[in-house]
Amino acid sequence: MSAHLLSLIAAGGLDTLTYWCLAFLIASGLTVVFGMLGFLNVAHTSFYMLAGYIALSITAGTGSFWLALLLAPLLVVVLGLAAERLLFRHLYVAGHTPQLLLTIGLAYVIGEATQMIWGDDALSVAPPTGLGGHVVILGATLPVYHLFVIAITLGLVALLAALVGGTRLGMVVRAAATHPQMVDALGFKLRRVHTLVFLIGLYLAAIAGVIMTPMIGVYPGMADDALIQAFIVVVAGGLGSLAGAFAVAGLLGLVQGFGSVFFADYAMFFPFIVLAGVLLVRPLGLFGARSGR
Amino acid sequence: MTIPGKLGPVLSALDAERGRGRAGEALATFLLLAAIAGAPWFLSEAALNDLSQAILFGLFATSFNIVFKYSGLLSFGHAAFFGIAAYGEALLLEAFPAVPVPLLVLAAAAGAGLLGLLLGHVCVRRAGAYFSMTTLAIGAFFYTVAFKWHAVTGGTDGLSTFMPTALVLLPGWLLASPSIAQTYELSVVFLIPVALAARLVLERSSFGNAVQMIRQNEERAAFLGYDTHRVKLGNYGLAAFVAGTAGALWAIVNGFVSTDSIDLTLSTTVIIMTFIGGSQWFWGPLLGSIIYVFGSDRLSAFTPHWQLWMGLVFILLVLVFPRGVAGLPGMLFGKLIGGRDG
Repeated sequence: MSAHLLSLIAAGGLDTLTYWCLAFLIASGLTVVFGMLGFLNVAHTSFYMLAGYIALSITAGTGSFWLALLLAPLLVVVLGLAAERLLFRHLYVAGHTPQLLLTIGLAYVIGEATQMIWGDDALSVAPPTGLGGHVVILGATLPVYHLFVIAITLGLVALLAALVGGTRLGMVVRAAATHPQMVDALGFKLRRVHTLVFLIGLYLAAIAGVIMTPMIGVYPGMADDALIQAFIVVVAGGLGSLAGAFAVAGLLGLVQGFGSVFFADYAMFFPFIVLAGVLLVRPLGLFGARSGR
Repeated sequence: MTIPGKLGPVLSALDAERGRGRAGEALATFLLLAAIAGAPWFLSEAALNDLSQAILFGLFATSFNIVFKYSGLLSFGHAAFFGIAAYGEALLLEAFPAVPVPLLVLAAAAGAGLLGLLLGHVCVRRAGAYFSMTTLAIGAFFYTVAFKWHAVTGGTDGLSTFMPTALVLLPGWLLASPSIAQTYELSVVFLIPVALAARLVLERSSFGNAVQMIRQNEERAAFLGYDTHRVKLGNYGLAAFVAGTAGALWAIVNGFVSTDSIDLTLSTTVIIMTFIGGSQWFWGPLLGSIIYVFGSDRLSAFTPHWQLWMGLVFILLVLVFPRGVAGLPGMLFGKLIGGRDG
């Protein structure tokens, strides 16, 4: 195998893993909340965008990307909690139409408020010191920052897996996903479990929003762009399926990673081809079992 | 028919109420359509310009609502049909400037309708959130095509040089450099018959009955022998045709087509318009679009960030008046006579 091809594969592989991580971070909360609560949140990626903008301001104000990475997602979670208390909570049993309408309205408001505060130009952020460089792997010069994105995602997912799989709280969450009435009957506060799951989903999306900023910057349309990708992940993965979201995020990473190396002009179409391809083979999505509610 | 027993008076009262509602509705419809048709005689040119956008988005919103009200499906990518027809009309006008405009509008709308039938195969099979998410992906796909296919669509620059020096309305009837009032009336001439015909089909034909029955109880309709998928598909195609009519006219009225007429923002705006006006009245979306366009015009005079206020007003509206503006008389009337909120 030629060295050139090897280096292309290394570059494509790293991009694949990076986009896989980001797509999964963004979409996982959306699909889990949909699976557990039947709640479709169009404003999900608006919170992701908000995290990116807040991180930009924190980085600019304090000079520390790390502080932004710590604080911005927490701030977004607080805002999410407020939205959940004021708005979303009343929608869990309301059916999809009011959910879609109100979260569309919220997405409008967040999008416009963001432009009011930060303006409507695309803004960029430099990667934190130490992560701005490049390493040479298999003859390819690769950005260190992408390795950091992968590491932080793996760390978060491992932490969550340990939390959900190995603690008492995680046990309640798992039970609430499959047997909500029983969990309720046993005296657990189902609402709190739901709020917790919702906030964890937002937190993951917000993390994605922050770590995305040194790669693509922030811009007013980023919520819409991410929403389309996230919907593709959720639909092709099977509504409510975390495993499906994981698999399809991987496929999107793959077409993004290698597609942008070999067929850069058509890269924008690949997510749709993935969606169409998956739905042709499995009309309910990769791991879809139930009918969409 | 007389109904014996206690139920009789109740039912006839209901009938009377419904009859009053129908008379009121017919009057409201007549007033709305007459005001739209007669607007050039009493509106300023600037207001007429706004109204001409409003009625075309209104026809588009009506198309969205044909899918929502009659099939119970909330489309999140409806701009695909509007945009495809707008681009199609622009390209047709450029290629065949001598062909009468009505034929070209019909061709562009029929193209959108066929596309609806094709895409419907993928999305109308599933209801609820699945439909909404799939249509969003479809809408995003067509936006991406319009954005990337620079050679045909002009990309972000759009198409702006397709208008012939004179529009051929009918063979031998030319319209050179039309005024706003003229293009406005041209759209009205298409808009009102297309919307009325769609309404007639949905409210008065056996096909329309089948569509509504399937929304109410798909399983029972299937047991009765209806091919529910095909009926829903037919309705989706009808809606796509109506959206296409609006898009094609939009290209003519504005003389310009860009990705604005096919993007996600338009797909969500049309949802907002529909629910401002009220989805339960056939003409509600048209009313909502007029309120939206004129409301945003007034709001934007106060603040460049009018969308923030529009979003907040919309959230409040959905929470407080889920039936929109068109539902207000019914709500007030229902409260007055203490009747059910049917």
